[in-house]
Amino acid sequence: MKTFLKSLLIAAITLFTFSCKKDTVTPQEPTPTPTESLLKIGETYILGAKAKAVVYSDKALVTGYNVIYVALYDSIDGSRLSDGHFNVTPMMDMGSMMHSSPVENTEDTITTGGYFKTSVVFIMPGTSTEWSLNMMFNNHKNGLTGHGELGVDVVSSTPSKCVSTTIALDSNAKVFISLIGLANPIVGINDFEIVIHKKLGMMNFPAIENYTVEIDPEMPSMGHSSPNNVNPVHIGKGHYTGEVNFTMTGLWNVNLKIYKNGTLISSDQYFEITLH
Amino acid sequence: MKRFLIIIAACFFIQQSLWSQNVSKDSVVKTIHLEEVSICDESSDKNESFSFYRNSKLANTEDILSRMQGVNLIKRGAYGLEPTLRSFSTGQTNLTIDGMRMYGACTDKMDPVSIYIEPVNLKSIQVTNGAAGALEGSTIGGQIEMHLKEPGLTCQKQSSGQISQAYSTVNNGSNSSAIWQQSSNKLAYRVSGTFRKADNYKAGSSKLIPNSGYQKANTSAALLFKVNTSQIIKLDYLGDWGKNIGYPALAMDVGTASAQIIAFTHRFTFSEKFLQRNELKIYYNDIIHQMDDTHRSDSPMHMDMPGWSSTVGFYNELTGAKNFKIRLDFHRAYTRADMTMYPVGEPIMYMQTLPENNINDMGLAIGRTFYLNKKQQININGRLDYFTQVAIFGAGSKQWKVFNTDITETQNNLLKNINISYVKQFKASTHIQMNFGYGERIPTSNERYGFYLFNKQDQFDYVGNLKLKPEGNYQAELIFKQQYKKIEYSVNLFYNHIQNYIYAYRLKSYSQMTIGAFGLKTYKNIEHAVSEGFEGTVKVQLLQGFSYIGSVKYVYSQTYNGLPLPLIPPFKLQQALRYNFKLYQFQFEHDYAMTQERINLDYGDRVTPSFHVFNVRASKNIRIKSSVLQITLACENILDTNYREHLDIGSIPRFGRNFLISLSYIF
Repeated sequence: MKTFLKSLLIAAITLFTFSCKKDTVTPQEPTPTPTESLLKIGETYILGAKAKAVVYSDKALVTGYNVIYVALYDSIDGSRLSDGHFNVTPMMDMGSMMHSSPVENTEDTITTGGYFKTSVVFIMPGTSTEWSLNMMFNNHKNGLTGHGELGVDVVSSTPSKCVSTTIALDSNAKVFISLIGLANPIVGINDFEIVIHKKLGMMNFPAIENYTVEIDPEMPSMGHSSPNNVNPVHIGKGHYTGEVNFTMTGLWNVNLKIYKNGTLISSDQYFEITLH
Repeated sequence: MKRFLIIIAACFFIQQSLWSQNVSKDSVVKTIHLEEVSICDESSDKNESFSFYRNSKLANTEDILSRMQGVNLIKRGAYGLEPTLRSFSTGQTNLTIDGMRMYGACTDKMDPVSIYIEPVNLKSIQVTNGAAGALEGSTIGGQIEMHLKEPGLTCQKQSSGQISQAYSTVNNGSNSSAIWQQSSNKLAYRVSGTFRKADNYKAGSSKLIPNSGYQKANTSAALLFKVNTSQIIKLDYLGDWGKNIGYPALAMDVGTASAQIIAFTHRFTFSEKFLQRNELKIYYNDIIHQMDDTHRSDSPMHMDMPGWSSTVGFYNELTGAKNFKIRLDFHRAYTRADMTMYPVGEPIMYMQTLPENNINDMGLAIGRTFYLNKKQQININGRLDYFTQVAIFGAGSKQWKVFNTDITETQNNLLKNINISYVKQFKASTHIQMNFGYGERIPTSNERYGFYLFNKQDQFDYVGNLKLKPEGNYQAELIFKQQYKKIEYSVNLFYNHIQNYIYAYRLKSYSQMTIGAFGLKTYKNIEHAVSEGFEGTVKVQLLQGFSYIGSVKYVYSQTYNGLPLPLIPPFKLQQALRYNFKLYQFQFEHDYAMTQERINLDYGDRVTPSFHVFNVRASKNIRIKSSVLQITLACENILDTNYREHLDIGSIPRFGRNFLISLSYIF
């Protein structure tokens, strides 16, 4: 057993090293769907579940809201695993302390398009020795449960896609507001989506579902707004969707007004959006 | 049909008295008049008031226009004034050059078509009020048609020319122009050029008005070729280049503006009794207009605001006996205006303030006179236009999505115009005319597609309204005229009932775009508006050599719920006393406008105080062999009054005391 674990570890290290070079290492390398749009972040073995996890995202991980796609393989025969319970806990190791960050794990036990999809809100930047994705997989193929850890680099999103504020009027809650999408804003109508989480402890970042949000896009250098924006409304799990309109190119600030039970509790947060 | 035909001696101060019998047949002046001025005597009712006021050659086209009956000018700078007809402005009236349609490229209306015409290439200006002026395009207000000078064929080879130079003290302005013309029995050509340059001008009490100078060059060329006895071909070119044209009433000036006009004309003269002439014209014009704020220290950030306009079109007009006219025309116009702003340290901001759009118009017009008997006649003219207006898919149409509006949806409008006029002559001295008409006009591109266009007058941004309906105007006019040997007068009374009048209103809770603007407005059709008024002219021959002319104009207008319409001029009196003595001429002028207190506060109108302005002019012709040297001296606004007219945007005062001198050498 010991030799087996050892060889497994060696295999894992080998694979991990290789993966840093390029993601065309093993012949059984999966073909992600869609292939081009996803970027491989890294891979690791889920020790105990006889599985290997390959982590993708649509772009390099940044502070704010990231969707990650995890493909799981049988570590023995390399076949794709599509059935099981999978979740991720992001973890920041700051040396003196550790904390997690908001995460949205899938409740599905079957992969969608071959992936388990998870969303993580990184609340600060960090290197792969600081940030890690701790993965748990209950492999329905063999009934085993295991854990794996993958260090990831998280760079600051500029302009920031995640703003945080301490809201005195809501029991001094530390609140994280993350912008979803809007990577390529256009002049005209754009979908606008944010997700709001609150920090209840180092490891507890629940979604906030009872806020009311108003948006007001503004060109800071001109001081004007745009017409007919649709304020985001809660659609579940702390996600709020609406529409934001831009009348010209340039730099826009989407100002956020947050209400709780009809009381304005925050009005100084905004997202910078640049249209080229 | 009521027609004001204005014959303009565009090039020089014609030393001609009001009554032609007073001009000695052998005088130099008379000779010049015949050589230099092509009189187009199409109308029985020429605007004597205007011909009296013919200005010196220092006058630009706008000065000439301002003296015309029913015409008032909206002023935004020392240059580029927008003519209005009995309070109807651009869009409600048609302003054409030789029947060619043009659309200004400036969304701030800095470039009315009239600025492309200089006195050296202007033959005449013809003003027709209401639907009677709809022969060349649907209109509710009427038509101002400017005719370019054209070379005439002569039996023998002839050449002539003119050089002139003028100077004005109020703005250190100089105006140089030259004309050269050659003609034979087959071929004739004419070229002319003008260069104007002026610094900032001084208003009354020596107050310097910043950003009011300008520079401008204009050239025109015409070639006329006689194919055979019945056919003539004419080619026209006109180019106009403006530079650093100041608009003190607006937030920006014009950096450069250029306009090119080309036209091909074919004329066929029939030898039959009923048919007289067929004229086909194919034309193209192109305007590029660049607004500029680099001379404004108060500009919050640098911005470029270029505008483009081009129009291609043709008309074919067949004329016959009894004023019979049938005209088929088409034009297609393209307009667009951009705004690019350069904030420091931030990405460029770009928007189309007038999204790219096309207007297509196919029109058919018919006119005819029925003679009931020797003293009575009825003139009828009508026109149908089929307009399509559509925005081109692109940046501008995407912007409009924020208003949930798809401006690439084609707008179609069928416009109807008809005018009937009844004319009766009582004895030789009395003349009565009644006009009844109905005319329509489409909403302008600005009114349909404009996107946050800033209006300095009310400090609001404007967005268009795609669903505007055309305005329709029911109009009636009564003209009474009596002519005696020493006195002559006329009175015009008019009434307009405008349905679906396009009126601006505020979009509450919408944000402005322009820095400093108060909010956002758009247009809607209101039930109706009414505009009525009168004009009067009296001419008297006093003692030998003395003559007097006085004219008044007044418009009263309001919306269906009693609000005064915006930009309505007050009662105005213009009068002059002239004295002719040998080859000298002296003229004393007095202009008076009453206080305008009937203002539209929504639009940002301000009460304009009344004023009196006095001018004096003198001229002398000196004969040098077969040529003539003309000298004109003038002092305008003698009392250095600080005044403004009601239609002057931004309450910028007009010229203070101004001395002018001009010299012309005609050979």
